[in-house]
Amino acid sequence: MDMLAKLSLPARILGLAIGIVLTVIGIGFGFAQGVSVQIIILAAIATMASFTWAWGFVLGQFAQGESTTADGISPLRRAWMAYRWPLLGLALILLAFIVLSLTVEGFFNIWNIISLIILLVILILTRTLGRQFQLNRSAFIGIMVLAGLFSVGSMNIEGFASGNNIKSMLLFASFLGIASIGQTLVALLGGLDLSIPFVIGAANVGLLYLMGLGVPPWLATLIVLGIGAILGAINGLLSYKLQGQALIVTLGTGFAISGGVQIITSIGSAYSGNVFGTVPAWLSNLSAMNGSTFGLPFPPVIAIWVVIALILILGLRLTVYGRFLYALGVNRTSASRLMISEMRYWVTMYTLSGFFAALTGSLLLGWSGGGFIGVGDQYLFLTLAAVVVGGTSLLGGAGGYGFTVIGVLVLQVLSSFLVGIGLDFKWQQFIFGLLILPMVALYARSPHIRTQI
Amino acid sequence: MTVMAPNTPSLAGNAAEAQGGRSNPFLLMPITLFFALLAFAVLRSPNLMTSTGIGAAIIVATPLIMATYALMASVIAGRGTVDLSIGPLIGFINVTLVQLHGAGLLENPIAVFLYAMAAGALYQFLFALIVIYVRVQPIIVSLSGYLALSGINLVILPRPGGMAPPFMAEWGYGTTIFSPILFILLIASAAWLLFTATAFYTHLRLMGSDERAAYTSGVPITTVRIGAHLISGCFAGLAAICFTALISSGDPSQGTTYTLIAVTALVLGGASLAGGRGGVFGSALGAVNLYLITFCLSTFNFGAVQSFVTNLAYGTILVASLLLTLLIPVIQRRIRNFSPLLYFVALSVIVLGVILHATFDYAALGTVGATLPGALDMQAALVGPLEIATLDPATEALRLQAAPLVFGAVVLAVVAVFLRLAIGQSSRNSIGPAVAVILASLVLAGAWLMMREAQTSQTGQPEATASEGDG
Amino acid sequence: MSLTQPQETPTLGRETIAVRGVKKYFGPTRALDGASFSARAGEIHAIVGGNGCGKSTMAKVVSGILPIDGGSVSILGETPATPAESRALGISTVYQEVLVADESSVVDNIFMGSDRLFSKSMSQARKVERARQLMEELSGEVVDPYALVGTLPLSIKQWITIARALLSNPKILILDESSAALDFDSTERLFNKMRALRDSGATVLIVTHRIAELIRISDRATVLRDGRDVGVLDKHEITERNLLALMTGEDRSTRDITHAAPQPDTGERAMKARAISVWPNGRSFDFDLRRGEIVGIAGLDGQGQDAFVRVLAGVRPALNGLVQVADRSGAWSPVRTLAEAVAGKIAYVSGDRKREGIFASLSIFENMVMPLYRERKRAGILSLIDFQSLVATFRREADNLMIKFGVKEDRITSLSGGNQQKVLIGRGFAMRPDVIILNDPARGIDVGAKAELYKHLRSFAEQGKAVVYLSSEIEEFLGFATRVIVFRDGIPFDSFDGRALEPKRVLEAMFGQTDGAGLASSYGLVPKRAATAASQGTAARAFDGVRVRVEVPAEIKAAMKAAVDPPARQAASERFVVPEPTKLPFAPKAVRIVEFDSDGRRKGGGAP
Repeated sequence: MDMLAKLSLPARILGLAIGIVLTVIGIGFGFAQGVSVQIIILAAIATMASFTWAWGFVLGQFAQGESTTADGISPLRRAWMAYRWPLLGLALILLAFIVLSLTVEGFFNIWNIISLIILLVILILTRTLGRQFQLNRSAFIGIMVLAGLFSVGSMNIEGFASGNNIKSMLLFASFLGIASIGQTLVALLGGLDLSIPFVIGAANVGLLYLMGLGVPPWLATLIVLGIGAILGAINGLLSYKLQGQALIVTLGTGFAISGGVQIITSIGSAYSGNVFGTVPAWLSNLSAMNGSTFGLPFPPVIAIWVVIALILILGLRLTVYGRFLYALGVNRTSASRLMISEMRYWVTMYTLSGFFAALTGSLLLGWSGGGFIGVGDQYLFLTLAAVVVGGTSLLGGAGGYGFTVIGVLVLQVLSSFLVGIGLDFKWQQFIFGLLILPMVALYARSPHIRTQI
Repeated sequence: MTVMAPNTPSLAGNAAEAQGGRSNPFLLMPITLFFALLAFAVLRSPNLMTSTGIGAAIIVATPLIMATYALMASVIAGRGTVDLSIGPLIGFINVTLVQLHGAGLLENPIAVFLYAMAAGALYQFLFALIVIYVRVQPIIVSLSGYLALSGINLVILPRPGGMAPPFMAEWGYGTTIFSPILFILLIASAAWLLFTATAFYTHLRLMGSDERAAYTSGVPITTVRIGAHLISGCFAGLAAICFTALISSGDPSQGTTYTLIAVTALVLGGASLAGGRGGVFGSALGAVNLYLITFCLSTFNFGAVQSFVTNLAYGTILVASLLLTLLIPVIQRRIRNFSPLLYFVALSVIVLGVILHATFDYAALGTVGATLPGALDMQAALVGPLEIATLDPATEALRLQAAPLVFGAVVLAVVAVFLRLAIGQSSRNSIGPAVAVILASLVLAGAWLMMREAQTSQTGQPEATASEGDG
Repeated sequence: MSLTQPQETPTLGRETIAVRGVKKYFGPTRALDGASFSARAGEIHAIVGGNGCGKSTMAKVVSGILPIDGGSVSILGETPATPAESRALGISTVYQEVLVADESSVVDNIFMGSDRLFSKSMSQARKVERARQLMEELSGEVVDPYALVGTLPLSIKQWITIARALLSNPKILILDESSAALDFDSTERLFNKMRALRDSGATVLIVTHRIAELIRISDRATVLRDGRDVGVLDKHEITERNLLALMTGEDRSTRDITHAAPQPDTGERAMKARAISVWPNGRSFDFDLRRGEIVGIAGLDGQGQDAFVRVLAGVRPALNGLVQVADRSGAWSPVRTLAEAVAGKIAYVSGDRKREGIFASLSIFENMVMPLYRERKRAGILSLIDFQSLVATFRREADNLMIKFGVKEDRITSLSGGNQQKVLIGRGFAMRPDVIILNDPARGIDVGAKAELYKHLRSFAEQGKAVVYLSSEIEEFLGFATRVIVFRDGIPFDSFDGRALEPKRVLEAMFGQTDGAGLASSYGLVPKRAATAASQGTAARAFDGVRVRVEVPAEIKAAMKAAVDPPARQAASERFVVPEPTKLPFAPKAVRIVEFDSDGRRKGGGAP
């Protein structure tokens, strides 16, 4: 309670007042919706208690280090100035809760109140404990969000925490995770690769086409992966030559690749753009829901992702290549003084990006069993969102694949959660879009122009 | 046209020894490409040069041109503001427009225009505020907007459908050149040109080129940035209206494709994605170039793979034009004073010859007489675009009499322009004067030949010589 | 010397700038820590101080760019918060960095910010006319007002920023190191302009570390040290001695006395450069670096000294000639690229930390040992980093340099500027070099850290290693450098013996006011050769003590341009042929560079 002691009197009174108002509003809604009295009382106590605790705890954090402010401002105003951001945040969450309670029938129930409390607790924990993790704050926040989402989801949605659902979440997370490898590596350099979805689609269709031609499946897969890598290398070379325009370059090459592959697969075929063929059993087993890994009941693609992720995380931390990649991303002039070849790293990272995109495309073929050029479309921004939400800076040099893994999981659980509460893909897209902004604002704000002169 | 250096006589004298070059070869590429594509397109399909052809071209190209303008306004503002959300924004205005109309609101054309531009401006205003105050890279904001708007578009209108407001219904036919779309295009272009004359535009360009310099010099960068985004939003609204007119319905996903096309058009038009450079002339040319590419490809009849070929072409051309910008410094060193206008006029004369050759109805000459309005007909050449209905013989006769006079006046004007350019360029160490003289003589030769053609076709004698304008 | 309040003189104008106890912090760094000063109308007021004393920050505070953390700023009775506001008040600022919009025309750049939001201040035609006049008047050259600024040379760009500031007839003009990109004549023109402005009643505030310039131009000077004002000098008090005493504080004099510059025991050479040139039209020269010495490199900003040390370090290639480095057995290998330099055990430390030094988001540890990653890797192709041995190296260097840090995994940006620089120097030493080349490493680090750095470098040299040390502060060389070479116009201009170093003479050399006799002496460019030449009796010693003034440096440039014709340059690339100085159309005594051919015989210069 020594935290609370630091709070000024007006701040405490303000907090109490808001808490009471909120509780009364909650009780009002409860009665209006005809919820049983026990639940209302329980909810009211919970709201009141959690709010006052959160208020004191959060503001106590803010009060530290800001003890000396200029005199002459009224205490109320000073309290507002010091605590306006947590106040606004709390107000927003509560407002959303109230609005939802008002509009959605039966929203005001005990589970949702518990969810709200969990959300608040997570917010506060992130705010308070996050300070201890200066370096990996984004990862910490990501894990907290993940935990919160998962617990809220498992409470509210039936079957959310079931083994099957977790397996399917992991399966889709593996696809997204493998597709995001390239994006992460390229983002560490300060570039972007928007050709990933097109390569995924092209690999998906191209692999089936090759197998349809009678090429042995293993050879076809190798060819597709090789071509993916080569396309990546071209991307890297072009992006390096056209510094700072990687986004547009890769978008352009992506379109060209997608168009080109479709033309090739359409030649001599009556069904333009549609490719038919049979997917071999081993490829299906790799990424199908009911696949098995050495007898264990989960698809091998999850294992593949875990292995690649471990290699990458360790590789980025412990090998010369990994560290030089970071060096290049932070400061290319300094890196050139250490004789780190910029071009080589750009080409290599984009090559890897192309390779893993092609791999994702091939694995998706095993999952769906049929070729479709648009299979990668959603990865256009999902890979980027995973990187950004995880906390890898798009300016280069900060972050890592471990962060992206967290980002991937957050996105996957969130999307599963949204599906669970009945929101389909378009809503997910909308929410992901809005989610990117605050995440980037947390880690990658540009400095004010005053400081750049 | 904004990049063109005015050429006052007092300067021409000492410009040679003055420090620095004015050359701005960024328009070289779009102009060359434009005429190459135009010549190719006309040779492939002379239909392009009919009232219907041009009308269709305007209908299809205008949304793209508007989208490119919208993108241009924010790109000039610098910080790498390539607004990827421009496509979904157009889609958003499109679907909300259709839905609101379906709900019985927005019947009035003025209300529709106001709504579209206000919606675009509001979105861009939010965009600007986030860029300025949250200080997130604009490209991230635009990505975020792309995702959010694409999602919400599908929520508002799950599948293509709905009806555009009825007053737009006929706009999209593209049977005549003088559709309202053309006026939107002309007014929007003229508005931008007028805007370039204001101090605000100068501020905008300076800020885009070097924001720190602008800030320290006292340019109100916050206001200017917000202003640039508002303008961009208004253009996005116009683009959405043209797009709605084109498809006459609502489509939640098709607007999204405008992002890539508009970015490509902008790059093709010689604008710098880093900011500070870009103009309405280049952007319009870039967009028209893209249309021409699609047109040329469509003449080949690839059948089912048509859209794939288009994708391939867009992507390749985007990358190629980006690579060509690497050559600009080299060109800049070679050519000190490049005049886009001179170059444009020069190429346009050549392509005019090609067009005349392509649209010349050789077969008709042999069989029928002058009564058929052949493309080389004096009347068609001069007043063809203004033709509304069949003329009564008296007017026609009058026009035929007036035609040589008008023609002569045009030739004189062209000669005057060339002389002016030749004199203006004469003090420089450039090939400008020579080009001007040669082209002027070409124009004169062409004019003389056309006169003769016209006379022969008038008298119905089939002894026409081959067109020599295509030299 | 009155350190507190200046005496009242009859010509005083009213006070226009009043800064009281201003504080400005950047994170842990205290750029301004309670600095005060005041300037009046009708005077040229200089803000002067060593590097990192906060003078540039002060300029930004006065011009309204940086908000302050404490204290008060009153300019013409108001406190502008943005550049736009200060412009409205009649304050114009020319910043250290040349801020121009490359994609726009000269006239637009000059009139940047002069228009209102929608309406123009004057018609375009009048703007063009005014811009042309102004540029011709200022730069002395005809500049096409429509030309794109990106196509112009740097000095013209600098003039554009000055023209922009002068355009509105400012009441207060702030110049922050604005003569950096200007040559001697241009600086003089700028000074005339400043005097005219002062006489019309404006306040001119100049921020500079160039003592010679400010002595000539300023009426009053406020000296800053470590973010505080330490004294105000009136016109008659502005002398080099007073300024230096104030700028450096008390501890400096003791350091000078206690240490002597290291002297090489043997004449064994660590590096040699033959017939190199660093500027496109610059003449070529030779240079020898002996083991066990510290060579100081000085010069006004942008006189080629920076290019020279970069060439030595292999960071950029020499335009002509060859730089070679000796390994421990004495065999020579060329230094043309960074890779060859590293193989030859040359380490390079840049003073421009932000741009070509630190990796901001990486740890202190990594920032120091990153160059060792390649040589200390394990597991072959896997290239695992050998953290154990690297930690040992890190500990050693961190102890040697006394770097203060919390945990070695902390980000480097958590350190102060001085400690960051020490990490970078440690990076250089961690490579165990034979030669270390430092490019103004002491920029922005405090006196104590400097002293430790000098000590470390001195002991490094005493181990028989060689040091090349470029500095923008002459005082750094006192009691530290074995010899000091001063650059001017892309070539060495004069050289001084470190044992008897007079900052004044070095400063004179930087301005081209000495005879350049030092170059051929035993502390010149090629000490050994000078020594042997002396014993043969053909030394350039005849010229010792003769003072010949270089009248107009611009003439030298012009003449040199004329003298170096393409065939001669072509020949120079094959065999070292230099145009005979006697053929030059001005007195050959002006530049006293001794030229040698590849066999070591004297070609020209020095002796008659």
